[in-house]
Amino acid sequence: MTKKNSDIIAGIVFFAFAGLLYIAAGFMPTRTGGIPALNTGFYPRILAILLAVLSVLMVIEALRTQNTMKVQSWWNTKTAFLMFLVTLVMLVLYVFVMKIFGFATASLLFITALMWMLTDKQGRKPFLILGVSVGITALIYIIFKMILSIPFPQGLLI
Amino acid sequence: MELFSMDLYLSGLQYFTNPIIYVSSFLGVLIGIIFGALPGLTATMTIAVFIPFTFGLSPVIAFAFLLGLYSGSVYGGSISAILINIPGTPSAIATSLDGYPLSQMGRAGEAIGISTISSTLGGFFSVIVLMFAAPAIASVALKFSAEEYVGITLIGLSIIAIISPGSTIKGLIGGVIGLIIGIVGMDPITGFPRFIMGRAELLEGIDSIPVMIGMYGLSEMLVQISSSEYKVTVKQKLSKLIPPIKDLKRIFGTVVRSSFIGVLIGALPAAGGSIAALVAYGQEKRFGKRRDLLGTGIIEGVAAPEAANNASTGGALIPMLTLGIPGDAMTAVLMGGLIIQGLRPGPLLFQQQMPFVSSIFISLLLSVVFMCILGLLGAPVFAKLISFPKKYLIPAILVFGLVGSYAISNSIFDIWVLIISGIVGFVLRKIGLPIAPIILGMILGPLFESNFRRALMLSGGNWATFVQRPISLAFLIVVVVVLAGPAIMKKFNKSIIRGN
Repeated sequence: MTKKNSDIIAGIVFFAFAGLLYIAAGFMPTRTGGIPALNTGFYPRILAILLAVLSVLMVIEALRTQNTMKVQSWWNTKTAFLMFLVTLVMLVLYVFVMKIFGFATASLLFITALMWMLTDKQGRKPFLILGVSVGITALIYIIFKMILSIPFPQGLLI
Repeated sequence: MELFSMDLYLSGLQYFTNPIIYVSSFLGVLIGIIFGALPGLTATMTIAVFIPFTFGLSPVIAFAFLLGLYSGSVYGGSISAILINIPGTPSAIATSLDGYPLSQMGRAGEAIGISTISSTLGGFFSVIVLMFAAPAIASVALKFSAEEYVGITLIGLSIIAIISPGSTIKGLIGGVIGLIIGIVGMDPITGFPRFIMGRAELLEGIDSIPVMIGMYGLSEMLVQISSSEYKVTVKQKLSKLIPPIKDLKRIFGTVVRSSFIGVLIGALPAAGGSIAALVAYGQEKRFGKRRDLLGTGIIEGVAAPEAANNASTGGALIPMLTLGIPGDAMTAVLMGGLIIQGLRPGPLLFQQQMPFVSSIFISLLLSVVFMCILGLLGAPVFAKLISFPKKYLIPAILVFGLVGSYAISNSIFDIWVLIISGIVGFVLRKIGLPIAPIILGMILGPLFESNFRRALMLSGGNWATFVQRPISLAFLIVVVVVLAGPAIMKKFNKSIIRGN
C-alpha cells in the first residue's frame, strides 16, 4: 500500500468516527432553549465537527500529493508478526494469571517466557534467562509490594 | 504574590535536610542517563514508565526523582548519538551530526566530555531562568479568565501540531482525538456520564498515565519486537572526558547562545528539546566562528545542541508549572505525575504551594549537579550499557508498565487501558500520526472543556466573548499565525524566487 492510500483510508476512518461521535452526542440530554453550551452533547458535537473537517482536509491533502512511497511495512517478517501476536496474547494472559496466582508469579512467567522468545535458539541459556527474570521480578516485588505497599489481588501464590 | 523575594526561593530548602531527597534525585539522574543512552528508549517513555514508582512518595521526593530522570535522559541521549550515531532520545538528533564524526576520529571521550559540560551549563542556566520567570508569569496568569485559557490551550495544540513529524493536519487530528478521549467521564457541568460503557472506573475519565505508558512505552516495545533488532557494540575506549580549558573557552560563546535559544524554545508551549537542539545547531551553522567545519566533527557542533536541549528542560517547565500547559511531551508526562500527586499546575500552585514549587527549582538544580558528576565519571560505564541486549530490557519494561498501570488506582481496568493504548499507539506510529498531540490534547481536554463552556455560559452563549477580551484575542491571533505561518512563508519565498 502506498502512503497516499494509507492516508486516504485513515482520513475516511476518522471521518466515520466523527460521524458516530456526532450522532452519539445527539442522544445526550438536551434542553431546548437556554445556552447550548450548558448541554452535555454540545462539546462532543463541536469536537466531532472539528474532526470531520480535519479528516476531509487530510483526504484532500493526500489526494493532492503524488506520494507513491510505500508505507513502511508493519511487520518485517512472518516471525516478527508472530512475535507481535504472541506478545499481545501474553499481555492479556498476564491479567488473568495475576488475578488467579498473584502478580509476582504473573510477572515471573511473563518475563521468562518473553525473554525465551526474544533470544535466538542457539544463544538460549536457560539459567541466565531464569536468573535475570527472577532478579527483575524481585526488584518489582520489593519496590511495589514492600516499599510502595500497593494492594495487589490476593492470588493463590504470591 | 510577593515577587523576587529570597524567601520565595528558599521556602523549599526545608525539605533538603532529608537525605532521601538526594538519593531520589541521584537515582533519577542515573536511571535517566542509562535509559536516555539506550537507543529506542526515549526520555518521554522513561518518565512515563517510572511515574508509578513514585506513588506514595511525598510530592517533593517524587519530583526530585522525576526531574532527575528528565535531566538525565535528555543528556543521556547524547552518549549513544556520539558513540553509535543513533540518538538515544529525540533531543539528541542534532548531537550526532558532529558527535559521531568526532567518535570516528577516536575522540568520543572528548565529545562526551564536551556534551556533559555543555548540558550542565545549559541546565544550570535554565534553572536560573525558570526561578525568575516562572513566578512572574504565574502572577500575570492569575488574572487570566476562561477565555484566555482556551486561547493558550489552542496555542499549545497548534504548536505541537506544526512541529510534530508529518503534516500539520495530522498533528491537529491527533490533538482533536486527544480532546475527544478527554470527553469520557462525567460532564463537568451537568454531571451526565459520557461514553463510560457502564464502567464505574470511567466516571472520573480515562486515567492519562496508563495511556501514556501504553502509547510511549508499550507501543515502542511492540515496534521493536516486530522489527529486526539491531545489535550494537561499542569498542572505543573513552579518554579525555574532562575538557581542557582551551576547549571550554572555545565553546563558551556557543554554549551561551544555545542556552538562550534552548530556554526560549523550551518555554514556548509545546515546542521542546529536540526543536531547541536543532535550532541551536542551525544558528551555530549561521553564526558560529568555525561554521564551515560544522558537520565534520568539531566540538562546537556537540556543544550547541547539548546546551540547548538541557536548557530547554527548565524552559519547558515554565508554561507547565505556571499555566498548566506543558512545554513538550516530556513535561506533559511530568504534568501527569503532578496531577496524580493531587497538585494542579497553574498560577494557583504558586500561591498555595510555594514551598513545593521552590523545591522543584532546587531539585532541578540538584539534578544538573548529579548529571555533571555522573556524566564525567560514569561515561565509560554508560557507553558499555549501550550494547546491553534488548531481549532483557523489553520484557522488563513491559512488566514495569503492567504493574505500574495497575498501581495507579489498584485497578485491573487500568491494565486494559494500557494494553489498548499500546495497540492504538502501534497503529498510529505505523500510519504516521504523531502521538504527542494526542497526549497533550488528552491532558488539556478536561480543563479546556470547562473553560470553553464556562466562557460561553458567562457570556450568555455569545461566541464573540473570545475576541472581545484583548489578551484572548491576541492568543487567537497567535494560533492563526502559527497554523497559517508556514504556508504563508512558503508562498512568500516562492514569490521572491520568481521575482528574481
